[in-house]
Amino acid sequence: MNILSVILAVILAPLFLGIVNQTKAFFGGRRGPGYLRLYKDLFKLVRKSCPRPMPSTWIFDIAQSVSLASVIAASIVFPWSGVGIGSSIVPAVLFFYILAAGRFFTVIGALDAGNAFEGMGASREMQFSTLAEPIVFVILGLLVMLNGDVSLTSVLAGVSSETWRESIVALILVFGAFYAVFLLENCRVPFDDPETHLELTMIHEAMLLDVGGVDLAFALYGAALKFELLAAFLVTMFVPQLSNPYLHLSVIFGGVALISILTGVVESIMARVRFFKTPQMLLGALLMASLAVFFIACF
Amino acid sequence: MISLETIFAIPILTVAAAAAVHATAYIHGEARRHLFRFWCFFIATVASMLAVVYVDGKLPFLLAWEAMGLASAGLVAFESKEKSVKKATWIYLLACHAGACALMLAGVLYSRPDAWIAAFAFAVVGFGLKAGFPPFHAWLPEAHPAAPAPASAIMSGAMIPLGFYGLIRFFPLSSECSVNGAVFGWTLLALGVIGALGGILFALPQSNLKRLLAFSSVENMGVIAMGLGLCALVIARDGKVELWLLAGAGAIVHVLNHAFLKGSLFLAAGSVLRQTGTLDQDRLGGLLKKMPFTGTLFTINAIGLAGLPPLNGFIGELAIYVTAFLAIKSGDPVLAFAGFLVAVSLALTGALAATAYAKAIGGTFLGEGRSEEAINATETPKRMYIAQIFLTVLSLAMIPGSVYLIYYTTGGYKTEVFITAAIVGALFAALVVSLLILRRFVCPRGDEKPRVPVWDCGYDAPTARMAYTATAFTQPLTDLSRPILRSRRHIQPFKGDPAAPSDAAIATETDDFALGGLWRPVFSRIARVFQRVHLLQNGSLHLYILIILIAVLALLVAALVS
Repeated sequence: MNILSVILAVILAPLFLGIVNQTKAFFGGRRGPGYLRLYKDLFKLVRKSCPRPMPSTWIFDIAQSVSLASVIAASIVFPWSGVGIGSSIVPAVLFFYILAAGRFFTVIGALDAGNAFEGMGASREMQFSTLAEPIVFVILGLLVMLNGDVSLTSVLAGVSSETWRESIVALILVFGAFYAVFLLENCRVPFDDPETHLELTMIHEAMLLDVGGVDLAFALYGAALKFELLAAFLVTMFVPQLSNPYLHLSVIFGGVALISILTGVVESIMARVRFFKTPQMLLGALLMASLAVFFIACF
Repeated sequence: MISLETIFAIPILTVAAAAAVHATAYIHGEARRHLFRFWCFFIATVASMLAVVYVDGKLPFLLAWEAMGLASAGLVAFESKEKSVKKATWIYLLACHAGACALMLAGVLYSRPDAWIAAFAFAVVGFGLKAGFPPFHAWLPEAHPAAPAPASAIMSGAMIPLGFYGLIRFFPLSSECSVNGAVFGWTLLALGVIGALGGILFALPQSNLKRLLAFSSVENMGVIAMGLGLCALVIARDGKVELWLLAGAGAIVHVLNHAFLKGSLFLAAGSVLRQTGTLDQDRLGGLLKKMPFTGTLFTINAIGLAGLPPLNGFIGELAIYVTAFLAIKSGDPVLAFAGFLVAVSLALTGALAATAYAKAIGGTFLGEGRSEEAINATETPKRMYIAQIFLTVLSLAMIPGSVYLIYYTTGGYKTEVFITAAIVGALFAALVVSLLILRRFVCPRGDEKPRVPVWDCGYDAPTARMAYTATAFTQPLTDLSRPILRSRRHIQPFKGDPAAPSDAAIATETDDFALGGLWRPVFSRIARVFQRVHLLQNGSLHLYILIILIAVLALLVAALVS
């Protein structure tokens, strides 16, 4: 069941980005590219060769593979169906550090291409992810306080109905803070716009300007899997653990689909903020998370 | 039986061995004439460091400590013809003597039970001057770039952690010290948090590679201090024995990991300096192609020191994280607060360290060379990177080694967490390899890798000057932290006709806050006070005779009165 759910998660990942795009198309009054667009793109890309920019070295060659491997490793230990492969001992810290290792390689891979735009994207990516890190760890601390242990399963053991009743305000704040991190880590509006076509305004996409072929497929697929993974993290935080693993799995995937629709709605009704405002927004999210800790610790 | 002495002696011996091999090639050309002087000071430094670890008694310890400072000052002053080296040597000697002074006071007060706080305060100053606690870290970013690279490797990897050794040796962490555990804990915790965050924040804007590494040492000592502080605090709050052992184990393991990783990084910086003649990251770049061994080893070690899995730097930090989270859960409000403080500071430190090391790798080794020196660089003689390989192998061995040390110290408490962390790290590495194989052999055109020009908005043939520099890479974060960093900017604006303007330029410099903002004003004020005393020494013989006369009269009067 555990292995099965990981395989299911790996297969379904591109679908959820399709949901986001279809939601945006609905709001824009367009027909949209279809739910399965990313699968077709990936199939097209894996048949192409990987061009390498002149100045690059082996770091550029392996960067996208490492980045995708990090997301897959994190999905393998994630408790998709309530209990995962080893997730009852894997510390939650490791989960986020593995993702950070993948991001690190994307960044140095971008620097390896030796061009202005990729350097700019790498620089911005590091700036924003640095500011997001404390938020994640405040939330992790809060989850440990509520649920008891450092392992991924117990951190994600879900919020009991009692806690829901007592501290609903705190939980809403936590949801808001983690959702902000979720949007940032997945390069969505209002922090980044995956559809922008102007290099100067790109963050994540700027790092992929010189990536092509199989490597680009890895990067796109990794982004889709990370979207699904972090959305599942967000959902699992709030859904109590169900005894039936199949039911649990379907609740998680249903929740991820809802988050995808929510993200589509947010992208449709909101413009992306200026770069200089992003640190302030992240500071706001940090304050929300800290306030939630304060509420739960004191009341 | 692994004793505390062994833990601190291992880095001394291994890093010194690697540094010695590296030094045989590092010192070249004109400097080889002073080879004898170098080896004398080198051997004296290593011997006195071992003496610090192994001698018994307070007085021999103090003597060894002072010898260690003096011998290593000789190493720092090796290239003493340059003005900056002279200045750095002065600052380092001053720090050493101030530290020894504080330690003597601490030694006098140590045996009196009613003066525990005073003895502890002097010990923190004395040992902190070595271990780089803020604000006593001011010598590190001066002395490390000035010293030859092998000497920096020893000082950063093996010598500065001895400050912790001294502190734990004279103020041991055990269940008996619970009375003063709170003072110990909060002091180290506060110094650790400020040191870790401040150190890495100041590392970000440095364009000199060795200065960046020196500030990163301040950060890593801060991480170790956080671990020890948490350890003492758990003792003080009567927490579980296993819990404080875990925090202590995390700190100790990080001492070893930092020694191997940082030692190798400093050696690599030395190789870069030898082959290019500069350490300015904005003038380097593209060295991975020219120096493949040095560059690859630097990259591996930098990832390790950024605390990213699967490498060893992560495991020590993980132990401190786990303790922090268990402290949050323990229900004790004081411990919970400390746990949150440590977890969040460590997270921010880790993220900033990743940025700083991405900059170091990117600026020095990736992209295109930005100067003649970088473009014409060649690989170092073999023994220089063999020294680095030796330390890197030790780092890799420390992945299971850290897990074992934590198991050994805590007696199996939460060991499964660290074993799984190592296994997941291995899984991650295996996934990377299988994806690379997949990409190469399964994809129809995976092994075709045509070389293409870089995309720069459609312009072909970009020059290296169009690429992002190391300073530009960290500019957003350094701009955000400007109130703390207080970088100085020298801007030369466009001049002349707007259609064909002259070259514009911007240069930024970030000096250490503690040195410029605290120590320099303090010392200049002291100097001004002593300037007044100069009145007594104005060179006039009449004044001296008058002073002697007054003194004799005063003594006579005193004798008559009594």
